[in-house]
Parts: sequence; structure tokens; C-alpha cells
Amino acid sequence: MKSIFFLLMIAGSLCGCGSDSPPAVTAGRSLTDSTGTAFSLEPLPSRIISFAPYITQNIYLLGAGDKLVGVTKFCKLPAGEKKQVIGDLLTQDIERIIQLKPELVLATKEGNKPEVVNQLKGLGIRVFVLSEANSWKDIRSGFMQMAELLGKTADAQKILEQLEVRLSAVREKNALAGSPSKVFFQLSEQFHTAAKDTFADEVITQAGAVNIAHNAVGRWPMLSAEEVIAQDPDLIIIPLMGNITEQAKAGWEKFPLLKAVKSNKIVIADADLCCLPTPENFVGLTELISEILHK
Amino acid sequence: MRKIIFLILFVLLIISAFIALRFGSVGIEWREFWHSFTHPSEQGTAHSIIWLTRFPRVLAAVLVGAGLAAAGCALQGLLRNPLAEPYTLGISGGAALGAAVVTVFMPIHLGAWTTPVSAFFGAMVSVTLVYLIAGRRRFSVTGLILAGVILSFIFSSAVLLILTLASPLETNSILFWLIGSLSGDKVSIIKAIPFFIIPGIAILYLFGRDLDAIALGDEKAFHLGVEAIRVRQILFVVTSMVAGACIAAAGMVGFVGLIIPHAMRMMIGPGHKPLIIASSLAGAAFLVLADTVARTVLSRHGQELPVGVVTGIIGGMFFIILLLKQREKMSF
Repeated sequence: MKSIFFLLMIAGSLCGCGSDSPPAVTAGRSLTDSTGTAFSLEPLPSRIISFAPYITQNIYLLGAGDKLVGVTKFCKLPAGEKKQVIGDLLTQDIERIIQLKPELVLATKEGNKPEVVNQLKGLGIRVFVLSEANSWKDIRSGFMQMAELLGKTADAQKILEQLEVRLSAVREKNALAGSPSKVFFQLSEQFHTAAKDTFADEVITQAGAVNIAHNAVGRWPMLSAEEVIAQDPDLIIIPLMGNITEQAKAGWEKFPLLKAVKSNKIVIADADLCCLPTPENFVGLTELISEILHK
Repeated sequence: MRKIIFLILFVLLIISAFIALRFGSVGIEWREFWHSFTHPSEQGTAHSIIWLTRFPRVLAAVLVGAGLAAAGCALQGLLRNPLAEPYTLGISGGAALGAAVVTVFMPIHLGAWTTPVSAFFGAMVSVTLVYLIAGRRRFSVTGLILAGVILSFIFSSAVLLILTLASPLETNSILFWLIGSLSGDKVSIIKAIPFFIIPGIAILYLFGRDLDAIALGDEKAFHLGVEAIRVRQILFVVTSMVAGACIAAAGMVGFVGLIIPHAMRMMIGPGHKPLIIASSLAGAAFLVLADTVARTVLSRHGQELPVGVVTGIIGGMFFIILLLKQREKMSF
């Protein structure tokens, strides 16, 4: 028993290191994914399956939507588009995937199960595993990786340049503002929120504000109502999640002394904008927060 | 009569396996289906779907179904308790905790083996503790059940603790596993679990007569020359290995280990030797069919159900019908 445990520990420590930092985008004709698998960039894939809503959004952003043959249940498609659904984030319909004969499957390291990735690889399907991206820098490099795989580097660079311009406009505005405002990003009725190393936290920082849960333990902590009240945020953002959202908003209105309630800064925002780490959403949400705070 | 029932169950298992290979989320034409059957080494879409995706899964369902039903059958006799099932003696809690700890805190990467190994390891830790505690009470029935149930509670609470600390995605992943599912890569795991499940079922079969004697009570068993404590010790370890392997392969698939042995007992009577064979066959066929339902019923919406949901609903209703039909008191 003991020796098995020891072996597991060693296996864990060996495999754990080295794979965390996103690999640099190589200039050659191949690209390495977060599992260390090298991919040649030629020929360009014409049948792609996306394993995450943000990947699907990025593919459309890059203008490669026509190459997409399979998406997840949660992927939002532009009006009129219809794609084969291959499952959700955790369970994928392997049979359907085989039938679609994809030339490339784009998966995420954090969102998709490694077992599924291995299973597909065992079936001879090419799976590129993107590493998780939350900060602007990582989102940019992940986006560029996808662009390289799809042969859309020039388009991607143009998109990123335009987004940079919008971001620097926000930064200029921040420089004029006084002390940073406090933001609470509410994910559930139980006050689940996003702490550091998350998309929401990075966006709040870029918008020149402070995430009140930045230093909480864990990445998705559950704060107490007392703590939120004590911190007295200037802005409460609630991603739209059905009935719960309105209830959560109504819940805060029982505390008329809170700054966010007084100035009517409890904002229900689009869930995709808040949670899908695409470059466009990053900038969009940053602008939204900055705009509300500096109104 | 018994032989005919065995034969019927065996044919049922073959038909279930055939249905499971034939149907899935993707429709395959008969022509293609036969072709990949008659030319099993030819590559292609149908071949990949039938032989590399459905077949390992069907095999896993056969093994897990047979293992759970046989282990449940033996434990019901061993503990003289109609509510006993493979998870009664603390295996499930330990397995769940093992899987949850690894999912959330220790990102060990053993590929397809990560969850199975951690679940099996957790189950064995929990079983060892139950064994030590029950050992202090001379392996009495109450000692075993109480130790198992209490440890399950402790471990389940620890799992809930981890769930509250985990990220939404990890939480989903653990919950999905807790419900029991045969989805995912089964190619590797089916190379390992037969070594636990098949000899396990064989040993349970060999102890069939001892189980019959124990069902009469420890004292009567003693007069029949069966040492109840010793048998309980051995069979506790054997059923734990079988159930641990099942959990490692499929998570916590409920109800198979509880209802299949009861249903078989109603059909062929309480003798444990035939009962273990019948339960294994019926459990295998039932889980293969339930998994086919889980794979296909919502597949048009891109959704697969965890098989535990199907076994619970279908199995539960089926069992109520059996109970209503059976008038006299159930015997062990």
C-alpha cells in the first residue's frame, strides 16, 4: 500500500512540472500543445471540432467558422449557423466525433478530461490541447496559437491590434480616475466568486478596479454575505444565469446602505461575455466595467 | 429448470451485447455493421465506432454488471441483510474520496488510469479501516455493517467538503463520476479489471454452500461445519476487491448490486451457488442494456446520461413490479 502511494506521488511530481507554462509560439512549421505534442502546421485542417465555447467563439472571430464541423452543447453559433453537437464539456460523444472525421480537435487543458483526449488520440485523431488562458498575455498567445493552426495569423494580428487600441483607451481613462473602485463578481446565490488567476479577476484589474475576492483562498471561493457587505463594493456584476440572477440582485437591494445599491451599480451581464476567455470578451468586459465605474 | 434459466440468461446477455454493439449515438447501416463484423481488422469509421468505442464499453459493462451483482448477492447472504449491496461496507465512500482528492488536489497524470487508480486506492484504504474496526468486534454482522456505514458517512462528508472547495468544473466532474458512468476510455481499464472480477466471482461461487449455511445464522452454520467468522473475513476481502474494480471502471453505478440478486432469488430460490451464476449473467445483461439506453436516449441532443441514472430509474421500477407480483415473504 505504502509503496503504491509513494509511486503515485512520484508520478504526480514528475508529470506535474513543465507543462504549466504556455509554450512559446514557434516560428517554424510546427506547434507544440500544452501536453507536449508537436503539430505540423501543414496541411491546414478543413474539418475542425471545438471542445469549448470559447474556442468556438475564437474560430468564428478568426473567420474560420466554415471549417467547424462539431461543437459543444454550450457553444453559441452566429444566427443561421448549425453544427453537429458532440457533447458538453465533460462528456463527448466519441462515436459522433469519429463519424465527423475531424482533421483537428481543439480541446482545453483545464476544461476537458485528459481521458477523452487520450482516447481520441488512441483512435488516431489529432487533438490540440490549448492551455488555460486568463490573463491578457495568455489569452493573446492562445489566440495566436489557434490562428497559426488555422492559417489565419495575419487576421489574428489585425484583430489583436484593434483590441489593444481599445484597451489602451481604457487604461488612459483609468489613469485619470482616483483611487481604484472595488468590484464583486457574483457567480451564485451562495456568493461564489472568482479569485486571482481567473478571467474575471484579470479583467477587473485591467479595468482599473480591485476584485474584492482577489486574495481569497482558492480560485473559485465562496464568500460570506458579511464579507461582501464589509468590503462594500462599488460595483456588483452578476453574469446572467436564469432565475437566480434576478433573485441575487433583489437580495442585495435589501441593503440600501451598500455603495453599489445606492448608486444602482448592480449589473447583470451576459454570461458569455463574463466567462468565455476570448480576446474580444476580455476587452469588451473591461470596457463595460470601466464605463460603469467612471459614469 | 435451473439450467433452462441459465441458458435463457446467457442468451439474453448475448442479445444485449449485440444490441449494444449495433446501436449508439451514431447510426450505422446493417451492411456496414456486418462488414465490420466479418472483417474486424479493416480500418474505417464503422470499425472505429464498433470495435474501438462500443466494444470496450460493452465489455466493461459486462464485467462491472456481473461483478456488482455477484458481490451484492454474496453480501446479502453474508450479512443476512436484504439491503446489503456492494457499497454497503464502506467501499463507495473511500473510492469517491480517492477520486475527488486526485481530481481537485493532486493533479497526477496517469492518463486513462488517473481516476480508476485513485478510486481503487481510496476504496482499499476504506476497506482496510473497516476490516480493522470490524476485526475488533470479531467480524460480527453488526460490527461489519456499522463500521462500513459509519466510514461511508465520514468519507462522504469529506467528499462534500472537497466539493465545496472545488471549481465548478471539478465539481461537475466529481458529481458525474459519483452517479456512475461507463463513458470515457475503457480500452485500458478492461485489460485490468478482469483479473479482479473474474477470480472474485469464482471464489464467491466456491463459497456458495458456506453462504447458504451462514444465512441460517452463525450458530447453525457452526454445527454444519462452517466457521462464519472466517468465511466473513475472506468474503469481505473478495467482495471488496470485486466492488473496488467495478468502481474504478465505472464509478458508482447503483442498484445493480441490490436488485439483480433479489430478482434472481425470486426466480431460482435462495441457494447461493446457482444464485451467483444467475446474478452475474443477469447483472451483466442488465448493465449492458442500461448503458445502451444511457448512450442513445438523448444522443440527438448531444447528451449522454450517466448509466447510474438509468439503472436507478429502470431498475427501481422493474423491482417494484417484481415485489408486487411476489406475494410471500422473501427468503434468504
